[in-house]
This record gives sequence, structure tokens and C-alpha cells, in this order.
Amino acid sequence: MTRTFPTPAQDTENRMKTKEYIRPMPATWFLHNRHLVVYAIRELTSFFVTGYAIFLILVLARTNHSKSDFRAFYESVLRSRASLIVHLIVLAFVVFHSTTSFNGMARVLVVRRGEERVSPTLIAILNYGAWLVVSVLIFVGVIVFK
Amino acid sequence: MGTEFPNQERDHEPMTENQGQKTITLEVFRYLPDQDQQPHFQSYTLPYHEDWVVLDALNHIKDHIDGTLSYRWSCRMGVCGSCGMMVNGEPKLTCAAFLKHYYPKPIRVEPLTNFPVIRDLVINLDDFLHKLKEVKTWLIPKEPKPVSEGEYLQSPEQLAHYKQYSMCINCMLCYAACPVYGLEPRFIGPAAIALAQRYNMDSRDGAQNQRAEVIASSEGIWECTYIGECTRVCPKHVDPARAIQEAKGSNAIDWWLSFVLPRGKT
Repeated sequence: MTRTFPTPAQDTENRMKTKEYIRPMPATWFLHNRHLVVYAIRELTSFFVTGYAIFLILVLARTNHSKSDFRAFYESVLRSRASLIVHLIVLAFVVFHSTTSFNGMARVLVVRRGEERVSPTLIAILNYGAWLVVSVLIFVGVIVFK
Repeated sequence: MGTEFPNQERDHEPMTENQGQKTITLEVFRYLPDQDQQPHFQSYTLPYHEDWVVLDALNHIKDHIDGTLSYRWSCRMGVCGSCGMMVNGEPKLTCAAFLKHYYPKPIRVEPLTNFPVIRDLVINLDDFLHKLKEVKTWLIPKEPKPVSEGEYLQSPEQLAHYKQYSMCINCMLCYAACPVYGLEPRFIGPAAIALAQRYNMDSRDGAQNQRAEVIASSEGIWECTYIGECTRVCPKHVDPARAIQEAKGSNAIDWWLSFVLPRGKT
């Protein structure tokens, strides 16, 4: 199918003919209201989520390589004050990103019972419940198999 | 998003009112293409009535203060979708924006952002109307049949799947709120995609593949980053953001199915 949008040049030319006024989009559009600020933070935190996922893969790779190798890495890098601070910052960003994702998923995911839609709040509660259960299982697993 | 035009304020136009009458000020975006190089804001002071909406105030200005002011309106009851404007920087139907929610502060009224301004508060709708046509926002039956064979039947459950999206009144508030559309005007946009999804989800329709060519194109659903402003400002609770995410999901499933069932997918 051939798209029939005018090219940007044609578009500008057409508008100039009628002398329409085109308002520029401000560079600070994401500061316009609270919702857009939250959106901008959500997008920025995705970099931290991705970065930490890569970091975890590298940690797992070291764990698989040899126990002593990981122990040395743990003592020299992970236990350092800088590492703890970075982890706290990343934790805050990851929790924020996960929360916005869960809330967003609850709004988007439509589950119907007949003509009625299952409440997005219920879906959100189930999401958070599953998150909590998995976190507890991992924590217990770590304690048990330490 | 409000527009700033520093040092462009024109003279305030006073209006004689009965003593003791409460008044409110409207700062209205003015652009007269045959006179102005740049738009400016013009202030009007008019009587305040608690039960007035912004559209009533604009009509008062037009009828009693300044007949040159141009804007669109029709039904005055939130159905026609023609009186959408920026009210204090937020896209609103002016027939549903009560003065009492802003009083006693002044109210700034501007044309919907992200659209070219023809004159004053009147925007050019061509881009939106063109996009509605592109995504075929009408029913294209799976199997056309003559009238003599009767109606295309549908159950209440089937209706419930798309009913929310059918509530769109084409007011374009979602386009004014969408930063993606502001940054990339070629984006098909929230209302057109929600309406495409409305027909895609209709059990009587069979043109999903035709619409997919447009809504799954580079200017379609994948431009959306799920900001959600379209849903927040929608006066009819259509939830275009959800429609777009749903369309992404079904488009992704279709893409995978095209590998698994290269000839079986309808």
C-alpha cells in the first residue's frame, strides 16, 4: 500500500500558503506536568535496569567460573562502600521502574469475565503478590543453599 | 503545553460591569493571519457565573466584547468534539471546563497544541482527518452480504470487546497531549489507532490486515512509548494508550504466527 502523506517540504509549503502558525515544541516538554516528569524518570531508569541486568550476568559468569574467583570479586568489589551506594541507587531505580511497569501492565492487560472486565486493581495486586512471592522464594533459597 | 509569547500582550479591554458583579479574566490566544506575524494573548474581563463553562465565556466575548474572535463549537454537551482547546495548558473540551474550577485566577485559552493554527483558536484538522481515512475507520465486513440476508449479528460479549474504543468523539485532545505526535507529526496518533483497534476488534469486521499495513508501519503503534497522556486527557475515557498497547500485542503475535503458520494465518 502506498502512503499518501505529504513530504515535510510539501507540508511546510502548504502551510506557508495559508499562513498558518506552527507553534514549536518546547525542548522542556517533559517538565510540562507531573505525569510527564514521571514518564521521563521511568524512561531514564530503564538504563539502570538494563545496566544492572548486564552486571548480574557478569556476576553469574564469575560465579560459574570458580568459587575462589567469585570470592575474590565479592571481597574486592561487591563489599566496597562504593558498591553498596551504587546498589542502593540502582535498587531505588529498579523498584521505581518495576512499579511503573506493573501499574502500566494492570491498565493495559484486559481480562474479561463475560461482558465485565476484571478490575485493573485486582490485576495489579496479583502482579505485586507474584513479585513478593518470587522475592521471598529467592531470599529463602539464598539462606537455605548458602 | 502552553505557549509563551513574551512581551506580546495587547491592551487589556475593560468592560463596564454592574458594581459588585464578580468578574473573571480570560487570556485568549489571538492570531490573525492577514495582520499578525506572531500570535499574541488578549485579555478580556467578563462577568463570572458559577455555572458557566469556558465555552460560555468565549461566546460572551464573541457576542458582547469582540466579534472578531474565532473558535469552533457546536453541540455544547461533550458530544461533537469540536470545542477542544488548551485551558491553562491542558487539553480540554471547553464545554466541560467550568469557570468555577479556575476562579478567581485568570484562565488562559489557546488552540490545541501540536496542530497548525489557522486563526485564533481554530486549528487545521487536515492531518487528523487524513489519518482517520488511512486507517480505514469504518466497518469492512468479512463476508459482504446483501441486505436481504439480514443484519450482521453480534453478541453483547462481542460488543463489550470494542465498545470503549467506539466512544471516541474525534476531539483530538489526545493528539494535543501526546508528546510523540508533537515531536513526530507523522505518527498516526492515539485516536486514529484506537478507532482502528475498535474495528479490528469488531467480530463483524475482516480488514485487520489492511489496517495493519498502516498502524504497524514505522509511523504507527511502534512510535508510541506509552506515555499515557492521551488516556489521561480523554473526555470519553476511551483509553487510547491501552488500544495502542493491545495493537502492539496482537501485531507481535501476528508477526510470530507468520513464521509458524506462513500460509495458515488469515
